Amino acid sequence: MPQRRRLQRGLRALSALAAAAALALAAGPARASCGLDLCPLDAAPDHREPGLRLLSQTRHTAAPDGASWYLESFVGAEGRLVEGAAGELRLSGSLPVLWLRDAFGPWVGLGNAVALVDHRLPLGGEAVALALGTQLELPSTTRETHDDAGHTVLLPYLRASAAQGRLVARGRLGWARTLGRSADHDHAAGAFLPQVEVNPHSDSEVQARLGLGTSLPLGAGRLVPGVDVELIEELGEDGAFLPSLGPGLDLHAGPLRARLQAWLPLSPVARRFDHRVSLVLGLAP
Amino acid sequence: MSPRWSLAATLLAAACGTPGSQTPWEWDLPLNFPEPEVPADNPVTVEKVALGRLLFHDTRLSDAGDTSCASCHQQALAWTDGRARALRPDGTEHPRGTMSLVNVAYATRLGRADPDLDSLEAHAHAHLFGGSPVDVGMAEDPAAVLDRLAEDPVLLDAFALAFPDEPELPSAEALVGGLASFQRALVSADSPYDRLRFGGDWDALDAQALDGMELFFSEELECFHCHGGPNFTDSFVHADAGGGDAAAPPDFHNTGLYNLDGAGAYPADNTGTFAVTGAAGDMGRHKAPSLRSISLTGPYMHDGSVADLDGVLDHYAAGGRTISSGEHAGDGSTSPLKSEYVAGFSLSDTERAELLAFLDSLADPALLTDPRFGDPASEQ
Repeated sequence: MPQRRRLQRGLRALSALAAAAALALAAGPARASCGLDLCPLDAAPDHREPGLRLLSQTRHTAAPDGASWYLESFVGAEGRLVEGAAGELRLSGSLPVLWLRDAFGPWVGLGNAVALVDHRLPLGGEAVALALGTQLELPSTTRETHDDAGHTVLLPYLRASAAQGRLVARGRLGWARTLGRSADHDHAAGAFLPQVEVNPHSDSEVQARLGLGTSLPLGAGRLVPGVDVELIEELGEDGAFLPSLGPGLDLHAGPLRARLQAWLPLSPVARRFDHRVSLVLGLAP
Repeated sequence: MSPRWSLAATLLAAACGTPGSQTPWEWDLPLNFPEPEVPADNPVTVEKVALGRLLFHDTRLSDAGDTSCASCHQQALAWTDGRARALRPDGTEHPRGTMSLVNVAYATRLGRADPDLDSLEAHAHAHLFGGSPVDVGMAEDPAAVLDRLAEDPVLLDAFALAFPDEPELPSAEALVGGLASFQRALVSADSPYDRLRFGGDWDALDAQALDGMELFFSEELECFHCHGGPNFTDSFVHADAGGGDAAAPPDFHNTGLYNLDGAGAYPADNTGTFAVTGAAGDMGRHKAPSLRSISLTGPYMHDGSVADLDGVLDHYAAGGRTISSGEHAGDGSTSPLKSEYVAGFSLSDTERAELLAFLDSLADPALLTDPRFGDPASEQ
């Protein structure tokens, strides 16, 4: 790869990180993403989740072509449905407004809605939180594309988080399966279509995310800088392996939860995005 | 100073600092435009491209001493010749037209319809020394060609700079390697479309061409299914593709240009992939050529039987060509072998003009006047 291109790529990565840092300083902390990004905010082992939480997530994604981009702004809520000896069952739903710019021009409309059921298990005590859940992406988008952007995707997952002293660890493992039709995107050639693909995915893929952070006291709350690694393995013939690195910052401050996170793909092949920055805000009224 | 001496002096000066060293070729590409896949045993270097440029324009490669690669592949015409069918060195007409070399580095298959011709090296060898499958053999005796070239000290120096580890030069391998490297360097990535698509210059195309782009990528016209990707062809591979499907042979397509017998037959001298495989279903199937600089590469279709892009649009709009009389009479739109994507469509005059404006935006004028790829003799 020519030095100029390496330099440009490096500068873009640095600018993404700088943007993330700037947002963090301006607004406080955070986290992010479709796929595992839309799972609930990680369970804090030593904290009880509120009965109701309003959620917003804003995510900016630069497409692999380096020119096109899209911005998703999810608005929704999540809350406790049932709580008892078997644990806590929570439901959530959110709908994104989608802005994008590609070679065909600017566009604004609705993206795919996401519904989610999350069952926090009564295991792990004060140090560990475990949850099982299922996320359902629904074809609510008003965007028309060649491969039909409106997909139904089922994503059952397992997630866990643990705290030991200041160290916070979290992990998620899920399997995303597109229902009803093939949604395989041709990452080798399809990435070059002039129409930007929003959150490309394969028919069937395993998604895993592992993260580590350090909990720092901040007034009555805490700040958790950390880093996540996302690993996606596309199942099926010629499936790609897609690792990404996501430095981020979490804020727990009374009724406010927030996560700011940047994502950078680590693989030059079959990249789904050039870089991505996301801000999640959760507020318990 | 003659251009050859000038070039040789430049190359020698470049090599002075580190004798025998090679200068990697810098691909002048927009960010995120993929680099071509290059064979490990023939990396592209400045020295090889310089050698290839000399060879590409050298008529001593033909037995009669009057034909070079550039005789048919002319830079100003996007490395085509403006003829319906190419002329062989012996003056006879080739069954097919000269193909553009723009972005040929990205092609998974070379030529019109041969699924086995998968590298520029193989293609160059076939053109130079072969009778089949390309049947434009320029010389039947490689040794005779090499002897002629060995008489030129400037060319010998260029060979030595390009292939410093080769004990005996010139060699057939070095000849082929230089020509392949030169052709790989003919990369177009600065057309108005590229500036829009890869450069984020949202004003690079005017409104008419933008509307044409929407038509091109619409399911109604189906163009992009075969002429898709950055090179506007499904014969496409790049350095980051990582093998797999991206490196697989492209589909070859029967577009319903002929239907001589109601069963899809093409003229006997142009049966496409069928001529290589003998499979009945391959009758008339040809590679979808790249559309880069397409407005400069007419006449069109594999045999040059369509004079201009208007005619090409007529052909696809009708879902195949109908020839009402003569030896090629037949209704191509009813060919049982025709591609499913050639289904026909309606196009208003306005839409036709938009589509043509978009196709025109795929031209890269700077490449077609780039002196690095021009005839060395023109530097005099």
